[in-house]
Order: sequence, then structure tokens, then C-alpha cells
Amino acid sequence: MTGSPLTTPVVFLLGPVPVTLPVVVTWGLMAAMALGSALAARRLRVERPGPVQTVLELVVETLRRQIAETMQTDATPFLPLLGTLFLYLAIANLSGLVPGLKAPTASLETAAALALVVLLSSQALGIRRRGLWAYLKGFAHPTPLLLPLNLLSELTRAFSLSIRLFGNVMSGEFVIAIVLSLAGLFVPVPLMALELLLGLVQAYIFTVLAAVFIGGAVGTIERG
Amino acid sequence: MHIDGWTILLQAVNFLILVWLLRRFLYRPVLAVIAERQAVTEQVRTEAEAARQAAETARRDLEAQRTALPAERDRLIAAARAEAEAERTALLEKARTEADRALEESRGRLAEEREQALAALRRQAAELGAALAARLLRDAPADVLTRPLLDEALAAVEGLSDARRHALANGVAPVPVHVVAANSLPAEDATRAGDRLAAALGRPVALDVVEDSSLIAGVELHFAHSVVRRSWKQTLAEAKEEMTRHDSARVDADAVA
Amino acid sequence: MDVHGISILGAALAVSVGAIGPALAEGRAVAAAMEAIARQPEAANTLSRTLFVGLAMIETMAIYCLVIALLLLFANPFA
Repeated sequence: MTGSPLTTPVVFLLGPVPVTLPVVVTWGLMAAMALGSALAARRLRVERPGPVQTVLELVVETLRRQIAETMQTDATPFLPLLGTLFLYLAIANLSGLVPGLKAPTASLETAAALALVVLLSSQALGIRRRGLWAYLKGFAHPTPLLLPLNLLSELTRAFSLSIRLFGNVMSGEFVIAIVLSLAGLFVPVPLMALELLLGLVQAYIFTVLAAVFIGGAVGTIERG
Repeated sequence: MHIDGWTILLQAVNFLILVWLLRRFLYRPVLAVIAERQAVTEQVRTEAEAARQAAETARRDLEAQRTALPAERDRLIAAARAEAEAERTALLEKARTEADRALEESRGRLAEEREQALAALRRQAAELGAALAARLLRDAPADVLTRPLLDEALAAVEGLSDARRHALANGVAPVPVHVVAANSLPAEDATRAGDRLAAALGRPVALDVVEDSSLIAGVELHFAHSVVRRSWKQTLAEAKEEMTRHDSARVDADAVA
Repeated sequence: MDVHGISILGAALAVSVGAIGPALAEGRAVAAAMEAIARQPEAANTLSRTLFVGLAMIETMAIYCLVIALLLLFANPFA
């Protein structure tokens, strides 16, 4: 039997701050992503783009279009946040399949941090787009009676967002670990393939839900 | 189960740093390139659109010209046709008047010629008739026919007014009277004529009898200045004269026939 | 039966019972989506995106049960 999937091992202490494994893995992913994109986007040309540039443009353009379709508005101002969310989640979810690594999103802290970022940024963007008073009045929609429920739903949405991500990734990894400890060599491969799909789907779902929340907050779509 | 607040904080900060990094190194340059390419494409498209618009305008102009062409052609054709029609009408009119004039002229000439021919014919007929009558009468008994004519001539002299009778006498005595007869006048007739003339003129008369068969029948009394004619020749000539004058005055089918 | 035994029983119960509802719900959702796509193939894109999001939402229920089970097994506050 494996160890508890719910614990996050501390790698080292940075003064009083315990640096856990997901944080270290995230740092590594951050470095890889930033370096990779910086290298790939180093020489961009308008005429006759190379294959790397074509892939980059395809990814960025697809992200922008999906976000635009979800939010029913121009996605360019939200592209850095939501696009990064998707890219980070996809890579982080898939990093769990690399031997020796543990997906950062399989820890509740990472999922909670991302949900927190989405929650706070949706509030900030909503206030910035619509003004403080108009944004606050949006919580009393359609009647002031629903004000506490609307406020509660903001929190529960963020909570369910984080639990969904954490639960899916963690359970996938946990199941693979259990099967691996039971059967050995090739048996977990189909489960790992499934995990591959689920990781991408979860990244997509998290991003789409975040886009829906932000879209509802800035008022381009109905608050879900 | 233990939730580490530090890890949440660190991960949130990490994520925000990652957002900034990717925005700096990925989204901004890629979006800039895409926008630039879109601008280029848009420019090309705009140019193409402008060219298309120009072509469309040219095409429309051409179309308008092409639609105007048949109208212009029709107008020209109609004008030319009207002109030709007017000219034709004028020519026709002129030709008709000329033809009418020529017809009229030739008709007049024809009528005139016919008139002349008719007159000549009539004259010939009259002459022929006169000749025929003369020929017929030549075989008639002249003395029988001459006597009444002599009497008639004498009566005519007697019927004249006194002034005329004096003029006939011409103030000489005996009055020379030249009697031309168709046949040889019998002696009693000559004496009777001399007596009656002397009685009528109141003077003696010197008769000089001449025979002229061309008179056919009858006599001519030749005085100094005038002649009293009572003869068939005279009558025939008068009849011929009258017939010729009469028929030339009134031309009709009867006369021709 | 001590707390451990009851916890294991509770975890098994949570997962097994918690899987029934989402399984039925997912089946119905997929069936409805297939029918809609068959009826309107041009809307397949929107439908499949919505279907995936919906499936993930439904699946979340089962995942919640799994989290409860894991909590009972590995982070039991009563043990």
C-alpha cells in the first residue's frame, strides 16, 4: 500500500517558510515554460513563419478563440491569465506521468491557490470593468433576497473548482499508484493513457469554468 | 490532512509570476505578430477590394456604354430612315408631278393632233362629199336645174334695196353684166334675164353669156363690183364651208364617224 | 467495530453509492448529447464542449465521494 495521497511533502525550509514538493515542481515548470516560450518566440516573422512559430500562433490563436467563444467578447485582455491557466494546468497535469515527479495540481494547496487566483481576479476584473457599485449591485440580481446565496455561490464555485481539479488529478495518480503497486510493469499503461486524456480535459474544464466566472463577473455573459 | 497556507501562497505567487512571464515572452510577441500579419492581410485585402471596386466601376461604365450603344444606333437609324423617307417622298412627288405634267402635255398634244387629224379628215370628207355631189350632179339635167336658179338670182337682184341696185348699175348704161351659166343658156331665158335685170336696174343691160360647166348647175351674175351667185358649185362650197366650220367647232364621235 | 472499521466501511459506502448517481447521470447526458448532435450535426462543436463541461461537473460528484473516502482512510479526524 502506498502512502497517503493527501499529504504534501516538505522538500526544504526557506527560513520559516516550508517549501513543499508542488512548489518546487511548479518552479521547474515555470522555468521550462518561460524559457521554452522565450526561445520559441525569439524570432517571429510576419512573412513565412517557421514550424515552431506556426505551432505557437496556432496555440495562442486557438486559446483566444475558445476563450472568446466562452466569454462572448474579445478575449485579448483575458488571454494572459486564462491562457496561462490552461497551459500551466495541462503541463502540470501531464507532469504527473513523468516518473519521479508528482503533479503539482494533485495537491490541494495548488488547486486551492489557482481557484483563489481565479476568484480574486474575477472580482478585480469585474470591479474594474463595471465599477465598484455596479459590480456589487450585480450580486443583488435578480432580487436582493438572493444576495447571501449569490455571495455564497461565489465561494462554493471556487471551492468546487479547486476540489474538482485536485480530486481528479489526485485520484488518477492514486489509482495508477495502487495499480502499479499491485500489478507491476505494463498494467497501468491504459490507466496512464486515460490520465493523459483526463489531465487535458480537466485543464480545459478548469479554464472554461474560470472563463465563465470571469465573464459573469465582467458582465459579458450571464452569471453562471 | 493538513492544508499548508504557505504552499497556497507560494503557488498563487508562482502562478502570477508565470502569468507575467508568459505574457512577457509568449502572448505579447505572438499577438503582435498575428496583428501585424492581419494588418498586412487587411491591407492587401483592402487593395484587392479597391482594385475590385475599380474593376467593377469600369465594368459598369462599359455596361452603360454598351447599353447606350444600341439606343444611339437606333436613333441614328431612325434619323437616317426619316431622312430617306422624306427624300423619297419628295422625289416621288416630283416624279409624279413631272409625270403628270408630261402626261398632261402629251395628252394635250395628242388631243391637238387628233383635232388636226380630225379636221383634216373632215375637210377631206367634205371635199370628198362635195366632189361626190358634184360628180352626181354633173349628170343631172342642167338646164332644168339652172332656170329656177336663174330666176332666184334675178329675184335676189330685184329684192335688193334701191341704193344697192344703183351701186350695181354703177352709173353706166347699158350696164355690162357678165352671166356665167353652167350650160348654154336658152335664148328665151337670156332675154328674160336681160328684161328683168333692165327692169330692176332701170337701165338697159348688155348681157354677156359665158358657159362654165364647173358651176354644175345655176348661174353667176357678175356686175362691175359685185357678184350674185346662185349655183350648185356655190351651194356645195357653202355647204362644205359650213360643214367644216361647224364640225371643227364641235368635235364629237358622230362627226368622226 | 472500532473507528477504523467504521471508517473503511464508510469509505467503501461513499465511493460505491456515490458512483451510482453520476454514472446514471453521465449516461443520460451523453445520450441526450448524441441525440442532439444527430439531429443537428452543425451544432456538434458547441454541444460537445458543453457536454464535456457537464460531464466534468457530474463527475465531480463522484470525485467528492472519493475525496471523502480518502479523507476517511488517510486523514481521519476521529482516528
